[in-house]
Amino acid sequence: MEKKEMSKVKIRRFDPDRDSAPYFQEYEIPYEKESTVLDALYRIYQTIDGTLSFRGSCFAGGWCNVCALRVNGKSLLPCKVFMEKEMTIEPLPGYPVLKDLIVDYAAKRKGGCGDASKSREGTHPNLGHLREPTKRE
Amino acid sequence: MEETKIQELEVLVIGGGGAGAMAAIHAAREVSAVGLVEKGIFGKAGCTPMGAYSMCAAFGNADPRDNPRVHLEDTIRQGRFINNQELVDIFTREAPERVMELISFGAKFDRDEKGKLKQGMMAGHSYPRACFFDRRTGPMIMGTLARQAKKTPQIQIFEEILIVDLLLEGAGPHYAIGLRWADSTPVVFRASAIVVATGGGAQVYAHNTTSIDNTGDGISLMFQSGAELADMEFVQFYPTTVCAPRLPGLGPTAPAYLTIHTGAKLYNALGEEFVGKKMPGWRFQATRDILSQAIYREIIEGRGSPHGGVYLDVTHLGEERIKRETAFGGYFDKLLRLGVDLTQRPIETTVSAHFFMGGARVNGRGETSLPGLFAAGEAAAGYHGANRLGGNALSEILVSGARAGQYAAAWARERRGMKGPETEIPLRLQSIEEKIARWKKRGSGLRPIEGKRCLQGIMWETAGVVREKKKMQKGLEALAALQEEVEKRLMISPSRRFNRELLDAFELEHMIRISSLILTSALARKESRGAHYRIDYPYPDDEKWLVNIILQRDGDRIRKRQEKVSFSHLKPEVQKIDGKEGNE
Repeated sequence: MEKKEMSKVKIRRFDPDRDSAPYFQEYEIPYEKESTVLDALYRIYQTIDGTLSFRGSCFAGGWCNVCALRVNGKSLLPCKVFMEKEMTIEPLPGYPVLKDLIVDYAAKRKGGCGDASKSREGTHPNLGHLREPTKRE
Repeated sequence: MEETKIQELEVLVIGGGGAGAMAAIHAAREVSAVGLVEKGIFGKAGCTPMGAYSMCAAFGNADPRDNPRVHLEDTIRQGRFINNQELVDIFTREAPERVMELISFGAKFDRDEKGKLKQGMMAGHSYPRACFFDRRTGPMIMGTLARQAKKTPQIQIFEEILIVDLLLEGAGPHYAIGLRWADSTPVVFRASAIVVATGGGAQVYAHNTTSIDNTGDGISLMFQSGAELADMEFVQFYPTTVCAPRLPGLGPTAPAYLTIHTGAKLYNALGEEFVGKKMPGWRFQATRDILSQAIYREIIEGRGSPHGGVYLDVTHLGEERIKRETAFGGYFDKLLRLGVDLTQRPIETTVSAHFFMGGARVNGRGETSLPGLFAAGEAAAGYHGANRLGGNALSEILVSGARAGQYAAAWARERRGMKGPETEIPLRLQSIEEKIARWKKRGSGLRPIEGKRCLQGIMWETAGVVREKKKMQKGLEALAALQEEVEKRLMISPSRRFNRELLDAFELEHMIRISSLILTSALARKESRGAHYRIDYPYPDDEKWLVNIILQRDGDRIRKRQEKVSFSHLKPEVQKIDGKEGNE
């Protein structure tokens, strides 16, 4: 049988309940050229680590825009970009990290950490600039 | 246990998609304390932002012969005559008004050179009546409604809260118990009226087009509370969804754009145009039920494409015509950048679960069978009958949402100052807490995501596009076995913050419940009609089955009854399929 190509995924983890500082955790999953980065995260959650936290709703490529994060140093929507054989995944910069890849979208707009549920201003930034599809390598 | 503060509201809307947002906005015109609770991020979650193209309302801009009456007839005829005709009448008459209201909130639609709303043609409609905003109509509508709701001071928005229990006490006030995803703490809402606008549950199928939060929570909670449900057997399968190649960014139903306005060819692995042969005008005539069943038959009978679909081909049109004539035009260059050249190769397309025609049985005020409990949007039944027409969802959610919000507020206003018993709340909170503790304590067992995958497989195989008695019975048995596994072995990770497994666990319970309701209803309907296709009863049977199947909880059992459709607006016509009639 042919050996499956694997992808190395380094994810920045942080749970304020147990970690004093963020750290990177490495996972290995099968590389599939037609899987998106969000699919890859979901696969890690599903098959390796149920404690991994990330957002995602439409899973369809830039319709809901809640999954935004940073892959290999670039801010993007992971549901619009195909996975790579080596990826470093971090939370979207510029926002306080609540857990793992989840940031407080509400905090930036209000200039501090607050109760997202009480916000009337909206808790989500305009991420339209992240919508363009990225070329498949 | 720390005491949980109760959020006091007059109207609570559960679900922040288009129907929920509209309900909140309309309720806020009548009462001062409206809450909108959303499982994800308001304005982003649910299926409304995924609506790519069409929102149907009979303005008659493209063809002056169009009007709400024709829209009603199309909707009922293509709903195979089991729609609630009173609801369809309301929907088709009020849809243009609600679209104008949306525009007053700042919505932008494509317009012609005279400034009139452009209207596109959709299969099953007599005239072009789809309003649209490029191919991003849904996100535009949701963005508009979210902005409007956020600037309405009477509306308080609660995000990333999963409702796990409803406590409906007679005429109210009612309670809803939620869990914050951020830290797992409970939240209790008290309101005179509750509007459920949580959408459908197509996530119970392995292949689906919906956002992952579309897990039928509200339908399940309403059933648990004793509300009547209707038409649960009718699940729409979308015929032309993305199969191969993946088209990230274009949405799961994108291949459909190729079929609009063009000579796109749809053929199987043998090169046979299996729909076009029988139905030359299929692009505008073949509604989703017919097309899904035709495509699915090719796939299961071994004439499918390598990735489990069929071919959709526009190579013969050439670049210029593809760009000019297909609704895909704007995407042509984007696709080239992704390495997909439509002039060189066909794409593969397949069938996926898309929409629930069934849900809570409601009247024109959005009232369910329980006092003070309202439902709107995909969580409510009756508007679309046995098959929803393309473009009717985005406009229906506006109409049904506005009505449910308005009447819920009227209900709440009459009950100002009424007190209800809250004795059961601590008990319910405790039982939720104990359940979570049980899940967290188990060091090994069934993970909720594994349970979901198992369930999605069961439903795809046994309650999918093509159904039959034995398979459906096997499906019910498999669900019962899964339910037992869940009770004995479900486990989740102990983390408190943003625990995805905690969401998955509660969603799995809802998904098992609504799945068994779909199968129960589908087994009961011994005919084929619209999206419900049975090979053991392949034809519609108008003598026996112009009825709605109503389900209601009876302890641990499901009570079912039939209700005759009232033909108050349009009498049924004889339906013939392949020139034959009758199942015997």
